[in-house]
Amino acid sequence: MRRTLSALRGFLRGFLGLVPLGRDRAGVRRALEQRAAGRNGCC
Amino acid sequence: MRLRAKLGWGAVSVVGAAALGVVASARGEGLSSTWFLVAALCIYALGFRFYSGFLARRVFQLDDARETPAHRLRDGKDFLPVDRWVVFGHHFAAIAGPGPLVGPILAAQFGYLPGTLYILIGVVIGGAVQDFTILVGSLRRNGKSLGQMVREEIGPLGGAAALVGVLAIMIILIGVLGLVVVNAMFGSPWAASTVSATIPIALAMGIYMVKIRPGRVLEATLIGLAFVILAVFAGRWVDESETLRVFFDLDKRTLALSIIAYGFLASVLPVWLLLAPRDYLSAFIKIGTVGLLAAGLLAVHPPVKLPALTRFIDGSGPVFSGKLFPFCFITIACGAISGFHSLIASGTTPKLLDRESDARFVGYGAMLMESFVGIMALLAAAVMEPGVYFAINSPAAILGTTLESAASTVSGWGFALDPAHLAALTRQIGEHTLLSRTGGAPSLAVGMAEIFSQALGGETVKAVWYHFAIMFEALFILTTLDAGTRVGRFMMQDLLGSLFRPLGQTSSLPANVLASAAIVAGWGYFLYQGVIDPLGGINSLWPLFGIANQLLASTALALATTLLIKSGRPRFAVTTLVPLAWLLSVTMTAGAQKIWHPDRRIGFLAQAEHLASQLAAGMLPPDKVAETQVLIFNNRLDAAVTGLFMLLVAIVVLDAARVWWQTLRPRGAAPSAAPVRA
Repeated sequence: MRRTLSALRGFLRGFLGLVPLGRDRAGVRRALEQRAAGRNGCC
Repeated sequence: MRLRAKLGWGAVSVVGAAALGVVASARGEGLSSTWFLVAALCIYALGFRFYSGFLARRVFQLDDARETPAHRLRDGKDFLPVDRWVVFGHHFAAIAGPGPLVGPILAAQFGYLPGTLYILIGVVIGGAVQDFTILVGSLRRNGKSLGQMVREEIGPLGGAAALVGVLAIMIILIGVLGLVVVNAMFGSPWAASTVSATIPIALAMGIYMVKIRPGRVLEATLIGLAFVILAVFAGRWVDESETLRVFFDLDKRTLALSIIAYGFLASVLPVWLLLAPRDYLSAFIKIGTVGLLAAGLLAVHPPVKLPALTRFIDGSGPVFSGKLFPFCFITIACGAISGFHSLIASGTTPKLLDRESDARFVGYGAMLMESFVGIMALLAAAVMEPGVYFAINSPAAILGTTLESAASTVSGWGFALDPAHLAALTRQIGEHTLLSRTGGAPSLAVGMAEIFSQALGGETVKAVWYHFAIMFEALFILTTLDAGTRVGRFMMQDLLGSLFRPLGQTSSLPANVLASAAIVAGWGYFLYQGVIDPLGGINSLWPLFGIANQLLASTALALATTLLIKSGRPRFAVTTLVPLAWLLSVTMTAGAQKIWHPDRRIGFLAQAEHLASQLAAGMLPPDKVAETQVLIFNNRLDAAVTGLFMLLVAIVVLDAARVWWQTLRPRGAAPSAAPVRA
């Protein structure tokens, strides 16, 4: 259960673009920027 | 493998084979959609456990002792080792766009069977293999991009062709996506008002997170989501209000121009102000809605009403023209294999992987999940009344503009369509018309509304679900459109910067505006052209998008084959060579047919010829002359663009074949052959 929840949280965090977030609050904006700029995919 | 595992996997194989057997052999109505879900899940499980395991162990020999670029080049910005679930979420968000939602819906005109089989088989031996191989290739080359790898591993000629190809393909892709949004919001003030509301909400969220209360993401998220939900319900008031609805009841040209203006702004404005918060906000809605659709399908398990195969496999289909081969496979695209994924798999993802073995889970696994989204979209189309499906997806040029004319045309094809039923459905979902709402997005929304309303709330809330689904799709697609434009701008600046250095500076406003304008003008042209084409623009543009995407996949697979051949274990190159051969036969056939086919509903040149002869014979009213001249030019341009794509991919593949020959020929290795690295 605990592992499932942590996996789900990890997935959501990645999905929402909070990739290098960790405990670093100031990193949120940078993470979002990077994700938006790096989203070169889109099928 | 232990006995218990053997028995377990044996059971999965038997159940999967039985479910697929039922799906493939059942004829007539009443087949439960659960069979599709069971077949899909079993096949994915088997593909992941056995085929991706084979690729990981034998072909790539993934080894956790080898340091990944995230550790070796760690800078905390681009390169950073991250938990594999986080990378999985990131990778899935970046690869899953509107393709798997819209493609299977359009391909449903051939019946449910071809699409289902291709999505399931194509992903296991094609799409997921491509994503996985490119990810491992980039992972072992310091996270290099697809273009860089093609240049270094194949050669400068192939590299240049790939760069131009990727940029051109991007432009077509965004044009098509814009067209899908236009068709979804056309004549639907509810959808148009809700979607436009997300733009100021995102702007406010961006300002809140950066200027007012920096870093308070949770607060901003809650406020933003509350406003988005409010916007869904407020759309209904707008729709019912005589004074407000005129502002949002927009014609297609206005919608196209608004989307073009939005794309330009999203590319030029600082990323934190509009793009990042909109992307973030829509990510919640994306994942929530896809999860809801899966839950709805499991809870309701509605019966499939579409036949396994329709008469349109002969190429006479109203949704798009062309035979089952190659156009079914071109149209399905991203649910089975997508070239765009190779850009992600060689973009952000390889820079985040903590261990080599995570590449299997992320590269292969995320593609399976995307394929599952494709199966759900296909089911949303398959559970609708087939008559309704064709009434929504066939262009007005074929159906006429009244319910009666549409009913008689669709009934003539052998699908019952009761005008009273369609009128009632239109009323239930709060629309003014459902006829000829082409592009795939509206019929997906109707299918989703059917499933959701059966699971929750019943007929009375169908309208809310429908508009929620339209808003979800438009939001989904706009996210791709704006991010794609911005990335296209960076690529354009790379290209321009090599001609004149100041143009390459991404922080310079004039250079930014110039490159953004160039990209937006590129896709804006194709979008506008699609909107004014009376034959239903999606008809000509979707195959162009599909061909472009599949040609990009061919480029990626040619590179993947090169990497495997150079790795010193050339016999394993068959894993990428087989999908490459299939894709080349599909795309080159489709490309040649789109250019030269004598049927003017398929061939661009035949259509141009037909219009030109009508013009020359003076058969057109004077007010149509200018428009027809534009159409003739557009068709010739489409033909030229398709030809260019085919040429570029042929260059890449031939250049790659030269490298394979040099590497494999018995006497002396090629000078460029790399040491043993897969």
